[in-house]
Amino acid sequence: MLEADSLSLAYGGRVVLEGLSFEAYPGEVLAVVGPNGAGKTTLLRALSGSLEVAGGALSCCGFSAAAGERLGAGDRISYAPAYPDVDPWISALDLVLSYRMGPRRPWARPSREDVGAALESLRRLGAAALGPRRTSEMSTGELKMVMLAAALSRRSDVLLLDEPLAYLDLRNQSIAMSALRAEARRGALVLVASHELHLLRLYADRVLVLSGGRAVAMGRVDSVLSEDLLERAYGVPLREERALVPSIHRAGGARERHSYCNYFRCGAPGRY
Amino acid sequence: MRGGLLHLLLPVFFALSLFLGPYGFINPFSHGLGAFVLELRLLRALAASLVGLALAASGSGLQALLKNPLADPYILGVSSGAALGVLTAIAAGFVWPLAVSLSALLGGLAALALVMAVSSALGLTRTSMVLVGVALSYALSSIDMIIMMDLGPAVQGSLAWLFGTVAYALWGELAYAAPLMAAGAAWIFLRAGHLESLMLGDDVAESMGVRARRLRAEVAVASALSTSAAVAVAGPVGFVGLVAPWIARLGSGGAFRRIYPLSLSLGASLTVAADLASRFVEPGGMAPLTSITALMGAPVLVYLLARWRG
Repeated sequence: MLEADSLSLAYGGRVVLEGLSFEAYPGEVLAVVGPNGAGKTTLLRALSGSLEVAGGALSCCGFSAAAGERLGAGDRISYAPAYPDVDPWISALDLVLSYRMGPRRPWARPSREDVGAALESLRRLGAAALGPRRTSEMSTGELKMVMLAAALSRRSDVLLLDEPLAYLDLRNQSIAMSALRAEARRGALVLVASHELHLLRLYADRVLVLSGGRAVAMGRVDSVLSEDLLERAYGVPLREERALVPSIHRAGGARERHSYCNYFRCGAPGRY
Repeated sequence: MRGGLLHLLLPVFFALSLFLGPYGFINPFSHGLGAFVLELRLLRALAASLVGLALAASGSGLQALLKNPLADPYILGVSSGAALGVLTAIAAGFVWPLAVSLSALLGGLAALALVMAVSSALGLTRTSMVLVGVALSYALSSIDMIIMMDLGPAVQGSLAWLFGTVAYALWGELAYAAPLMAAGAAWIFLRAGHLESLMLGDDVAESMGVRARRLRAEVAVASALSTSAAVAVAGPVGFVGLVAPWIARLGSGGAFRRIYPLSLSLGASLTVAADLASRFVEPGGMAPLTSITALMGAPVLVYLLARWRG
């Protein structure tokens, strides 16, 4: 489905990732974790087709890219960046519609179906009330939710989400996690770059750990996100604690609960 | 559909522009002087509409590509660059309309390229790029003045043109400039879908197959094209390219495809209205267009800034 074969990526003339090989499949939530600058965003950008492959090969949804090429999978892949750099004037609904319709002929109007899907996507993320609001009048968290709604509105086969839960409050984290699980149930491959390791344990299936420009580990979340491995990847002593984290909405039962989950903290005592 | 009604301003102002002058109402369809007045005023109204349309097209395009609502061909120095091109051509003796239009284009393009090159060399954000434009605009305007003072007997006409006027427009000039203005505006329209993707952020647009750099270059050239042609006809007219897209945005959700047609029609209405007003401000009808558009535009701009508070 998605396959990277000895993939190398460069950004700004510097090789960021080298010799990366992995596969990912429809219906799973694959998390990409690692220290700042490990190449998570670069990997997502390459998968989205906004960055050239520097070496090796990348293939997805029947499209492929070799060195010097970009993966252009059209609307089969949807990408939401960590920091949405959007027009300050555009309203949430127009943003979602523009995303759903993609670059199109100037006279093309949104169909009834497009408008319906855009509204439904905002509603699903509890952002329906933001519809007429301009992006400059939203908080960063609200804008992140709108951007997520935009990415979900295309019902793509692959979702590439950079820090989808950053800036979100507990309730929105819960809503977003539930939406991502629902997308995976629908059969989409959801790729998430994140630093919220404690939340990944709740909603991700597998995890790819990047560090020092290479893949350090890949596998089931429970087995890979161990204290030992993360200490090596991030280079800090860690200790495991139990923390209050938002729960995932289960399909059908919309009751919101909070659950306990293991979570890692920087271990040096007295720092917190 | 609040915005839809604003389209009606254009035919209203256009009709008023045909009938109204400093000496009151003149029926241009009457015998005698009528046909002569009609031709003069029709030329003026047409020139003003086209110039306004071109400036609004350019302003919308620049605002979309820089994602900066303060971008405008006048502020970014494109107009002064085009004016410098025209004055240089005239000073060198190339006074044919085609030569004037082409040298305006060269000047406008060079100015915009310079602003972009300097901003990118200094690593400036798209917001500070406007300030580079302001600096260049002042510098070019000074050079414009110096060249103009050397023109000798032609100074009077050039001075009026340099402050913006459609009073000196000629059919021959318009015949060359109109297709260029229309081409620039149409080019931006054809890229409206891509520009709308650019509003989602460069990375997202690139992931949708938009090549952001190429698109920016294309829209910059198209903006310079329509602005330069407008400058060749009416001189550097300010504020229209800034205010028209802003007003168009107020009535819509901000999607480029909805803003663009409305801002073109508003740009045309504003300029025709400004030309109409200029006939009353100074009875000779020679009051500079920019002084009128600035008088109308400045309060509108402050009001919009207060409303937006972005």
